[in-house]
Amino acid sequence: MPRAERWAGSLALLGLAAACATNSAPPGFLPTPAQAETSAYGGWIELRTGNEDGSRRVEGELLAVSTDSVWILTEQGVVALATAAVREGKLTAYRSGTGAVASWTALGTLSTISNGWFLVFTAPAWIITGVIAGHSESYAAQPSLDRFGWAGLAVFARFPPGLPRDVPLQSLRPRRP
Amino acid sequence: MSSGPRFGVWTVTLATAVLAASCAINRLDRRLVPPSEAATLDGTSPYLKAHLRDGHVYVLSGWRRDGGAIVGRGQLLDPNRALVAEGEFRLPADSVALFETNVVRPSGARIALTLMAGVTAAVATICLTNPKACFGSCPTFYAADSAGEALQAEGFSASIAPALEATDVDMLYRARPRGRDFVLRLTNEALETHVIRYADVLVARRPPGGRVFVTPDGQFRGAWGLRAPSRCRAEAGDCRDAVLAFDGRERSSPADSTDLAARELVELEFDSAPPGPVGLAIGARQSLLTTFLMYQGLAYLGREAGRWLAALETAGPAVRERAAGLGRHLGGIEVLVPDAAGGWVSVGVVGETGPLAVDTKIVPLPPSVGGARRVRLRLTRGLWRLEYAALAALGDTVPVLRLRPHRTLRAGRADPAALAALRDSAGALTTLPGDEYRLVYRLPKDPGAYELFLEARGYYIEWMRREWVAEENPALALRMFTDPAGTLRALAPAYKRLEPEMERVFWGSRYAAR
Repeated sequence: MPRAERWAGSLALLGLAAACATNSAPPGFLPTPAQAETSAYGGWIELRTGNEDGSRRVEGELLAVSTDSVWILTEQGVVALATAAVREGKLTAYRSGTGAVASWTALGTLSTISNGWFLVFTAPAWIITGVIAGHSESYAAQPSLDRFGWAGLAVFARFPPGLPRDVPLQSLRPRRP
Repeated sequence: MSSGPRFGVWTVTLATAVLAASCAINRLDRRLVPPSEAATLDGTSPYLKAHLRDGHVYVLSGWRRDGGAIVGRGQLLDPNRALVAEGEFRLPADSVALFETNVVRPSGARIALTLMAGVTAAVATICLTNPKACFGSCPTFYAADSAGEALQAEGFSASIAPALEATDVDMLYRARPRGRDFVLRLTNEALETHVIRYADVLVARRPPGGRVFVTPDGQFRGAWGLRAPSRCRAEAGDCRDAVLAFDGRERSSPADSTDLAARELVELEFDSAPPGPVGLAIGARQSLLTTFLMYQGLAYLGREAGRWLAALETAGPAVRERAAGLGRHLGGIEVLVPDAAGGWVSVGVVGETGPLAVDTKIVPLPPSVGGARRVRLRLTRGLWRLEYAALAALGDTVPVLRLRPHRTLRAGRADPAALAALRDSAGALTTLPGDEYRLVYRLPKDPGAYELFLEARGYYIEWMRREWVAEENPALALRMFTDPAGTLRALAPAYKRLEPEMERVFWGSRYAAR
């Protein structure tokens, strides 16, 4: 394979890696869109609370959201946070197709060797399209707290109607991938 | 070898297309619906989740509304999502806290990548079915003009082997220096290796209100009083508008469908001519006919192309002369004037190989009686694109100053090695596809008063394209040398099939604008 195509393929992957949204969910935790149709678990949420005196990072499965609180099921158990105390947050609802986009982009970029000198157009077009598509794809699975608000994030909680009153919090178990 | 690489290319392209169709890049559209709005549930959702206030959830497939209830088959899961029950369920809507529907839709990313796969496959198809139109240049030189930067010259286009190394002088007709430092951007935009012995700028002081042109025999002559033809006619009709000015509008014609060497006539008439010696200035470039023939020749030579071209090195002048047979049969633009017997006599030939840049020369005309002049051009159909024709008073030869580049830049940085290669008569600058240099020349004071020319010497080597090897045919290759006239007749149908698309594909395949 010509060196230029190898570089172009690598560049496409690097661009995608740089452009894509990330998350700290354990491998296998997040369902694919198809699996999410039947999955009854919440999405993976990462929150940072605090002020200039100190901050706290909490991550785990989103259990429920109310007007003033958010419940997260971490490896250590259920954590309840006041939404007002959350400085920044990120929810990943499902596993995005970024990996497929990356593979597809790399293969597409390499396939431009069939385009002769047209690859001067088509290879960058693949890279640009792939990076934009990968970026868009990865962020599509991460509904923004700023845009949707806490109530919007409840759509991807384990208990969308709210935390059940009669369920002891200590009885809830994290999802095992 | 003929099918292997092509198959490989198609395999990659096909794999991309298959991925485009099958790869699951989807998005999830999830909605929550309160039981009071159960009538609005999205029926396209294959599954329905019914969340209860106690944390249990039903996950139903094949669900439907039945009056005030939801009926479906599925599972009941507890708050830890352990299975509680499985089977057919009927849920009164008011027993549910929230319904959840999920619809998986193809994402915009998937659509965009599918489109890209389609574009790539289409381009691959174009290049595979018409490889002789894709790519191809020879050293190209860009310089500033009045509007920005334009392709001004192409160097030694006919020198496709070391044995055919040649010197080429191109008038930089549209160059407009913006100071004493004149910059030429030298590029290699094709799958070729370019070996450039030198690329010097020649400057000649213009006569007041005039220009300096080169004659076919290499003299630099001052010219003034340029006037456009009063009439320009060819078989296809009036062509005056196309040749009036150096404006990108060109007069061209399709090639003959039975003989690529068939000639045509263009008649020029000037109602008045300047007094004294006159010359006809002609600006023209070739069509892609010669590109097609050169690539076809290399395709016929196939895997033996390198050996054949190398053999030219050791071959005698007679063999090299024969190798140029096709070019001779195609010919240049022959300038004819009326003779005393009522016929026409040839007074000169112009025309440089190459489809990229317009080359401008002036052909001295013999003196005539009276003010009006008639000039006839005889040229191969479909081979030439006439940009400009003008009659001018022709002066004496003018002194020419040779300038070697005094700086050479690559990627914005000085490249002393390239500079030394271009300045050293024993060296050469070798460029590969994608290479680009800026050659800076120091012009005399009052640079706007000078005509600029590029004199380049060297040769280039085409890289064989996989698609060409499929056409390897030593007998037809030999025929190109031994029977160029017959070859030009035989290849006419093949060229005519490609001709309508060649220009578009060729220019589209380059990354530099004209």
